[in-house]
Amino acid sequence: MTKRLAMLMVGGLMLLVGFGLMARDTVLLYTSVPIEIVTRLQKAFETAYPDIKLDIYRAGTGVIAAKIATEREAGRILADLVWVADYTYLEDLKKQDLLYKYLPPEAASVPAALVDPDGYYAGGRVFTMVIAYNTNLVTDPPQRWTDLLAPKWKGELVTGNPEYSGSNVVAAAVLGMEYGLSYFHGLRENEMAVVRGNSEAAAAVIAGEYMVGLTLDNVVREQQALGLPIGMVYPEDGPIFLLSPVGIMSTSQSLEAAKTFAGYVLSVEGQQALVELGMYLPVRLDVPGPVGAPTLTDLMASVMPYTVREIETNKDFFSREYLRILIE
Amino acid sequence: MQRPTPGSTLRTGGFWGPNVTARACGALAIAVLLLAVALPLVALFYRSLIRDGALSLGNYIDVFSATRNYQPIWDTLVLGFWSMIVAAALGVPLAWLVARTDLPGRRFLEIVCLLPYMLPPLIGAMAWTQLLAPRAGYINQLWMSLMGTRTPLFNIYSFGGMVMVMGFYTFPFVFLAVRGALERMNPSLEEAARICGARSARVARDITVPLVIPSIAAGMMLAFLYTASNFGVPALLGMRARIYVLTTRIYAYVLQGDMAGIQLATSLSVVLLALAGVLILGNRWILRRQHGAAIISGKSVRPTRVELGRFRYPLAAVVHLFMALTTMSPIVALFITSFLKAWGLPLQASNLTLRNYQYILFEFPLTRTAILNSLILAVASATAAVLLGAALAYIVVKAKVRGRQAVDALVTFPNAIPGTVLALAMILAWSGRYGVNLYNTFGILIVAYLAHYTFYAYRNIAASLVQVHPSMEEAARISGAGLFRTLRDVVFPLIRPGLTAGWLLVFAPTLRELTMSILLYGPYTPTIGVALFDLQDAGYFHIASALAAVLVVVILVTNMVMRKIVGARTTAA
Repeated sequence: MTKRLAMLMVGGLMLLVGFGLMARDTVLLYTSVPIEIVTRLQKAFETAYPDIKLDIYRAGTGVIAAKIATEREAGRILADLVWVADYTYLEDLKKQDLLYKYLPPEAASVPAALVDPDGYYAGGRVFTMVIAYNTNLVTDPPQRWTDLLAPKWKGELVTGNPEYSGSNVVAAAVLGMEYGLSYFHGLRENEMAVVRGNSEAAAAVIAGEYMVGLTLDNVVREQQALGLPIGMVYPEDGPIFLLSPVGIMSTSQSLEAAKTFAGYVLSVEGQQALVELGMYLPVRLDVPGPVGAPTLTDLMASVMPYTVREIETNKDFFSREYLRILIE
Repeated sequence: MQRPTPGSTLRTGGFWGPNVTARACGALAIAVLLLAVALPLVALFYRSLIRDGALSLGNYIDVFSATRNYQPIWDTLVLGFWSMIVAAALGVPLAWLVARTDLPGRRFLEIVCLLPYMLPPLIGAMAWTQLLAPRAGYINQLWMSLMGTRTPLFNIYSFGGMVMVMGFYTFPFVFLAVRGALERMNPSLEEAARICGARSARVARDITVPLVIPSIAAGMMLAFLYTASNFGVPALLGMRARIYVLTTRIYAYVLQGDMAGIQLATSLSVVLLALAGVLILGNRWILRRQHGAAIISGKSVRPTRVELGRFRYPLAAVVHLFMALTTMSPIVALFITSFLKAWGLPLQASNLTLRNYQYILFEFPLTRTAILNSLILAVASATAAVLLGAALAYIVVKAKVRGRQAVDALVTFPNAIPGTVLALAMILAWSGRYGVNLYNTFGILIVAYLAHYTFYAYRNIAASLVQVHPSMEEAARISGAGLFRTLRDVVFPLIRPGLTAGWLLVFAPTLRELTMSILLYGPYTPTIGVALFDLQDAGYFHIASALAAVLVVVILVTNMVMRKIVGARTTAA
């Protein structure tokens, strides 16, 4: 008898929990934003929009692309939103008719260069691939991408893997277009190690496993704020600029909630949260950036000048060659 | 055999009478077994033979014609071989010292030897990285500062590193097998040799060694199988050095996401399955031959111990120091890192913090969800496995239906199938192609866990059931009790320890499962194993270490509880 009662109670409780969840709109985000940052952003978003429950699946861009492909194969795409570092992935989704065409009103405040001319996505976050170094071990860090080929850095270089990390896909494409395959061979000569993503590369530099590494500016700023021994150089021959917009899946069942999140990321509030939580450069000119960081305008004048289209057409070739030359 | 007594027929006439219900329960249990195990494996075989909608061997031809595909097969064999050698080199002498000598501290040594057995190899790999990561591991740091160099002593991200960690984690298989054989050995054989005038060396060469060799071989085969099936160690230590074994190559192909990837993963899985099959059959063949020879008796007479004399204490010091270094120091390193603000910082008071623990337990959604998920999954799987295992054990042991050997095989075999293969089979069978879509849900994880781990529940319950003499049940039936009353009042109380042991033995490994979970988890279903792997692989060593430290404590406590309940015999999960 008591057992039956207990079962009833458990059943009732589950129903209640079920209703409780249904009262809130749920939206699922697949993202490559570092887990620590994105979970803090999740909290800020849910505070601003208590009616929406934001769920997060965090992995590298490569893994997310594969996960979506597998889900598509299995018949149901779970993701409502995609937010990765390689913005050309959104172009891939666009071609497969998987991207929902929407620009939030907030996109009007974002510089036109950061908005998709077809009107599918805008801004999000920007970051830059830079040269990071361990401040305890290095006093004269490399100043240009080509300095990495100097013999003194042999066995002391580390980078992320394009197979996993979207920003490294873009980096491979840009460096390949600028310096050609011989540059990759030079890195191989210098025994550049390939880890998974940018956080790993930064962690390896901080730990002193390698003296110098390719990683993202915001990751370095974050680690510096914790007092860890890492510094960075914006290379003189042009840092690599990365745009990471939020895309909405056309298969989404909660479009309204998805639109709300896409708008939140571009809002003053959202950008302030990204500056504060992730040390990113803001995509709006009316939001002040992290202390000591260059302004968006200055940065965009100094980066390597390649268009989305150029990167999109060259990324597969160069990331494949990058892996082949550096790894196999 | 269950001829109803007059009493029971009187009370249970109708269609849904106890015996019909019992039969329905039995049929249900077998149906679950077929769906969870047989169907996915058939789907796996079938899919490996399909190319562009037609039967073909094309997938296998692809596998064996590209270096990137057959290299992992070769590397799996080489890794398995060397791990097996390391396992034997450690396990055999230790077993002899514990079983046959008067070495001081033998009991302690025995516990230390089983420690790697309790902890998942993933945690072992993580712990060894803390010591031997190039330039940043504690030992390498010490070496570099002593030598004034930037060249590390040893790089754990290498083939040698994988062999070392796998060897340390598989030697208990050899240790247990050899210790068992040495202890059960009939002492009269050795005595007879001695009486005939043979000296110690001759006795060892002609009697002891030949008697123990089959056990060494059987233990080594298990070590090989365990290495070939493992995912965590080659993934953490090998992928970074671009060394792929079968499990990690299959994982990479599944992650690739497209049909071509799944096809190649499927074919490689069948290769891995075949390798596992050969090892299991080899192991069984050896054990059966050994039993056939019946030279090792079940007598309680223990063979005499060798007196080590003046070597006793120096040897004890060396052995204990070695074991402490290899089993304890990585774990200690893991705990140290869990208190660091960031991996690689020097060990100073100013760099120590409790924040990592606070973070993983109370703040970080990923670890909190993962802990909750793993608890739910472990409780659900353990409960389902006990119900399923009990029903199947009853069918096999008591009901003695026809085809019970097949049932026994279907429960036993999947436990030896590499998790990677089983997980891929689950994806193929349960992601919508055959009408049911469990992909991304708890369901697919539970089915996979059930297929892999029901064996532990089944084996323990069956062992308890064998001990319940039929006369007990018959007495109850004669007194007028129906089948269910008999089960509830007579059988259940008698097999309760078996049920509890079975539950714990499924609970413990599912709580920290990685190999299958990494392929089956979805956005809402990350598990502890997945979180550990991801955090470690993403370079958040300090956070991963805190989670691992919590898990180590939970595992050790569970093991102590298990030892209390079921005795030392079954802690080997």
